[in-house]
Amino acid sequence: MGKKGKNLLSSLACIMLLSSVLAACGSNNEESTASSSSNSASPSSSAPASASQSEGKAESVTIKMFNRVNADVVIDNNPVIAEAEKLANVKLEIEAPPINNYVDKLQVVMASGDLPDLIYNWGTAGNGADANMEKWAQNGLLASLDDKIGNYPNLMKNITKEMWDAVKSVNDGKTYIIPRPNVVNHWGYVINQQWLDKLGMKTPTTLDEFTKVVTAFTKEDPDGNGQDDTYGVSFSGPDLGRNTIWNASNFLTAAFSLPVTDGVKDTDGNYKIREKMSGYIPYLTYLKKLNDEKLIDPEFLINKIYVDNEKLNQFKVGITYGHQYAVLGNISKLPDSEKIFSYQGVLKNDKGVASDWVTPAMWGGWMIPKDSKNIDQILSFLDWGNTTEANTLFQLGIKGLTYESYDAATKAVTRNSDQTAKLTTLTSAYMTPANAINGDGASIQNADTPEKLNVYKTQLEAALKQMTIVNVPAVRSPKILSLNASIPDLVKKKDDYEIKFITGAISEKQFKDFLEKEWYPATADAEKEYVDFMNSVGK
Amino acid sequence: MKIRSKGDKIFDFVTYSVISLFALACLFPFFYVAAFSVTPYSEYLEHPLKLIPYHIEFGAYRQIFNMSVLWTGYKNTIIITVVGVAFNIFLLLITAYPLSKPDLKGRNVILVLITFTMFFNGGLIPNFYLIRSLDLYNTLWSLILPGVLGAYNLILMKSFIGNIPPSLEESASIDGANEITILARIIVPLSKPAIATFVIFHAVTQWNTFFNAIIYTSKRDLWPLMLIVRDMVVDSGGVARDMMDATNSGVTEFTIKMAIIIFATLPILVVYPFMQKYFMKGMLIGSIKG
Repeated sequence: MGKKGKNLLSSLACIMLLSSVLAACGSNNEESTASSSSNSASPSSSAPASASQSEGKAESVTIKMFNRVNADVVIDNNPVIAEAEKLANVKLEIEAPPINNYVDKLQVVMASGDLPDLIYNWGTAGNGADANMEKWAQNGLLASLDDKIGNYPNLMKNITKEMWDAVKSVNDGKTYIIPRPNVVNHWGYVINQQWLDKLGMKTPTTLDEFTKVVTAFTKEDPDGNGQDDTYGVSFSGPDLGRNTIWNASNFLTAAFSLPVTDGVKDTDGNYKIREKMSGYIPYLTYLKKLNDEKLIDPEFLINKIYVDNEKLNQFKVGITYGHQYAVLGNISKLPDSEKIFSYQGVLKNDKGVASDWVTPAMWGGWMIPKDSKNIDQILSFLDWGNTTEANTLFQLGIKGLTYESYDAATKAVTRNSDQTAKLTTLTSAYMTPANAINGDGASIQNADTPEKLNVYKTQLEAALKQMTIVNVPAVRSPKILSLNASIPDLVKKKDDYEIKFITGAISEKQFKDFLEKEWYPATADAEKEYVDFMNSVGK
Repeated sequence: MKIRSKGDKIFDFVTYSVISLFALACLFPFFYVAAFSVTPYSEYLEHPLKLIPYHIEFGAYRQIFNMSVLWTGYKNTIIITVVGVAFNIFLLLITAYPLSKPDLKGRNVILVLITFTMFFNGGLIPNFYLIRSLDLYNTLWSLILPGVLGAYNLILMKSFIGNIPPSLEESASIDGANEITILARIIVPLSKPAIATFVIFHAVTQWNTFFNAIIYTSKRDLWPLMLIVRDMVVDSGGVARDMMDATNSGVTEFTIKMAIIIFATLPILVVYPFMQKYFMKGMLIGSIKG
């Protein structure tokens, strides 16, 4: 082969390979654009119709469902899903990306133009009505459902007015998302009852009593090992960088009439940002006192979520935050938890009121694309999803396969180990169209004996008797909800100043100066919008 | 034999001590995870930092062995690793070889275009469109073909082949060998160290791949192992919040997570010691030789 021939061969090989490189690296923008237009033109709901026809079921439609389901659950050939299809008379095609990257995949799918029929949105707002939903609604991707939802009795019964209000678009006031009702949590605290009994103390209901108990837990060797190795209380946070002291710390902030959530009036009857509330500085000062006197876990500001629970189980701390399910739930980690710990409601404030702030209990919601041809059938499916039958199926599975017996009245479930193992691969709370019916789930975790069930009921009843439930409306004021995005550095600085104040690195005057000179001016707009919004909610 | 001075011995002692400490620091997390995976939770609560548990409990492994998703993940990861590496090496060789020839027409333009892809790409959504329009969506090919020929590795390989003396090719050519014969009989044997290095590099990349699977697949039976491991092990704030939201009572199966980590990394740990020398050689590939 001559030199020219070799060069020609080499050149041809290079051209072919170059095209494969470019194709593989995805930098061929022309092709991308072309495929974009062709894909966006394809109707999203043509497949369901043909699928249902081919199966010969006149009423049944195929619903392509985009849901957030944990990795343990097997989607294909899942008997629980098959049973749901039978009961709801639909065919479900579920796409369930990894839960950690759910939002990434959802954004790609929404941008692709080839939308599923039913899309779960969780986002940052917790109720699904987040900035993404607003954007997709504004872009005309989502169906407005206001004129249809009234036709579905289970949706209207199980989803409260507060929930519907909480998900309305802030831009046009329309409903683009069906809330997914969740179990109502009554956040209080979990205490080591054995320590309390050993020290001969009563469960604290006021701040004074609480201080005495954490002091005794720290200084009177409640575990009896002869060492000074216990602390009264601890906290933990779900996200690094977010202050642990605001994470479900209702039990303690309630003593200062300081809600941990927006949407509650201050003691003078006015809405304010938290940092202006009358209990803000006193609460931080109290934490400073606990820290100064070494009555609180020294790592309480940096504990990652569950670390406080671990310390409770290690008998290093005596009190952590928790809700009514926490004690029985802990049995999975520490047997006999129901005999060691007890759940208690929040502390009373100086007027003797123990405020149980309850926000609309939602766990994201369901969106339907505007172009969907099966909106009514999809709503019918969600309507069924909001029944006890659906909730029980998705939470408990199938009798004989994932549980032995179930008593709907007491919510008692019995399972053998094989059924328990199968349950985790066949269904989970993530699968439920509605995770609660009238605020309750189908079962109570680990309440598998009458004694345990009784522990749960007794403690919850006592807590509810002590507490005053305050229903908090969802705050739909964009500016106050997006301070982390609009002034991230200052939010971080404020968080740091809170910690510095608690640990004594700065004085109260320095902290207040920061609030006056930097924080209040920077949040004035957001506060005004928030206060206006909250005042309008009441009217 | 050269007598080593006292200073040399002290230097060696300090060096070995520092390296040993560093090695221990590297190994400790792995031993800890391994020990944790077989420690009963009650024992962990009493002795959180114990490396040798009093009682060994394989319950977590029994549980994960029953998770079918982990086995399909293993299968997928092995497929995308083996096939991906085979394609990668083949494409590297047949692309780098012609590009290593200075007299190739348009060589510089091609190299510029290749280098361009190191700095710019189409972005997430265009790539998604591309994969879908090529009918690669929901296939394992979507986890193999994107990135099968990385520009950086290609340039390194080109440099390596370019350093092979041209006289070897010329003599083969005089003996009647064509380009394919020269590539197969001369270039490939002489490039074995580089090939071994790129096998390792690409195998590790493929073994650890997860993000493409999130975007380019919608079926769980196509998920690679690392995506499953990530979803089960990584406890992001969002998941933690879910756990609270769903009233799952705050129970996290730490032991199972640790067992999953061991289960997923074991093959790499077994293979790595035998391949380590190629990693070290890889550091020098493409560098200027005196």
